Amino acid sequence: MEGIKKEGFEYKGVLYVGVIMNGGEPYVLEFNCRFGDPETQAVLPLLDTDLSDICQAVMNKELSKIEIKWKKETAVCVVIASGGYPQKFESGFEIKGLENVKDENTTVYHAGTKIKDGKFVTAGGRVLGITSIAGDVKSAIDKVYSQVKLISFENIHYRKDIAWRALNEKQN
Amino acid sequence: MKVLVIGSGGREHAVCLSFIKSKNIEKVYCAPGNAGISKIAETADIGVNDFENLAKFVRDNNIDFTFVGPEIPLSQGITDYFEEKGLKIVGPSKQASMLESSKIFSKEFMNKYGVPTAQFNKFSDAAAALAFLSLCEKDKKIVVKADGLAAGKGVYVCSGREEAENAVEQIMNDKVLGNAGTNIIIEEYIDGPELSYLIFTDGISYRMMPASQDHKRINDNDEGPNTGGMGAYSPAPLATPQLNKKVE
Repeated sequence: MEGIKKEGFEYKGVLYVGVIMNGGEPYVLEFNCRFGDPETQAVLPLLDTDLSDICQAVMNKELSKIEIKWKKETAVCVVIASGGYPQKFESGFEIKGLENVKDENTTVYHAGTKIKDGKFVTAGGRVLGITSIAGDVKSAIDKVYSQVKLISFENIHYRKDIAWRALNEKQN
Repeated sequence: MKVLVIGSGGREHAVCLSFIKSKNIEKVYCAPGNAGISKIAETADIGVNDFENLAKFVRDNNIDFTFVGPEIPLSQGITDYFEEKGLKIVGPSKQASMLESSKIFSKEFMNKYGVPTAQFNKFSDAAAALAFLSLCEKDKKIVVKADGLAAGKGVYVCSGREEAENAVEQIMNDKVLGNAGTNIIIEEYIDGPELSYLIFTDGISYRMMPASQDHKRINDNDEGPNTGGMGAYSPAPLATPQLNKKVE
């Protein structure tokens, strides 16, 4: 941050810092100048301060004046993709079961979708992101996969082990 | 207030939803958005790099401020363009965006300010890069990166010299990444778990968000090719308060 100030950069926004841990020390892999995708879908649901207040403070250079609150819960986001992604995949399949995701702690984010004849169809490699929040990692994982299972389309693909590392670390 | 969100992915869907929950926001617009976003916000079919029509849309609809999701418009200077026209926007300037849009710029920035990062060398021609590789250990993992934006495809983690030489050929001679690969860096490989920190900043002070971890590989057990990301969770237990302090 010191560097951004010293260089006199006009930086009003979100900075993403990708870090790799080696021997207990963090090394910076990369900077991104915006929200990550899908990290955003796992972080913003925990935000407990009005995002527009944060944006105003950022634009007015008054961020030091506000406090940002976060929910003390865990969010897990599972991305549902078209089979074949990241290589060749087919699109245009009807997405079924969206209306069955009713859990109030779960949100469905659309990425590659289109509306065709009044129905949602797949239109990209990454199709949806499903995020659930709960009091602990295990409950969030169980919740999100119970909701992911409600959704189906041809050639659906998603990982079944999202957040496994968090679970392992909890047990150790 | 009215807000325009620029972008069309899951990330922008999440940003739109946060604005919809805001007590200050009466209307959320999104350009170009997607099918899901069109159910919660008014979408406009304007490309993320069409600054002129985005600015016109903001004016025509009396939109109070704009939030930029993706990196391409930022790296092309959307913030500078909007601010010149007196429009309020959240997103770094073109110059500051080089922290992402040029890996060489970013690494030199880290070195200048003592940010710990993998050692690297930069190259603007393939012969020099190959000569450098010929001096590297044959079976040591090494990373070849395109300098420019390559939608997540610009990083080659190589098992040894031969793979690295192929990566250099592909990026610099075959130009598989176009202009993004005009310059490259070759850096040492660091092994370990990865963490993502997201930070709000106004250029003076900053606020950290809870750390997260994402899953880049397509298949379970981190197998298969890299993707844009197959899932994420937050907060990451790996991010202890001590570590967060260090990163700060």
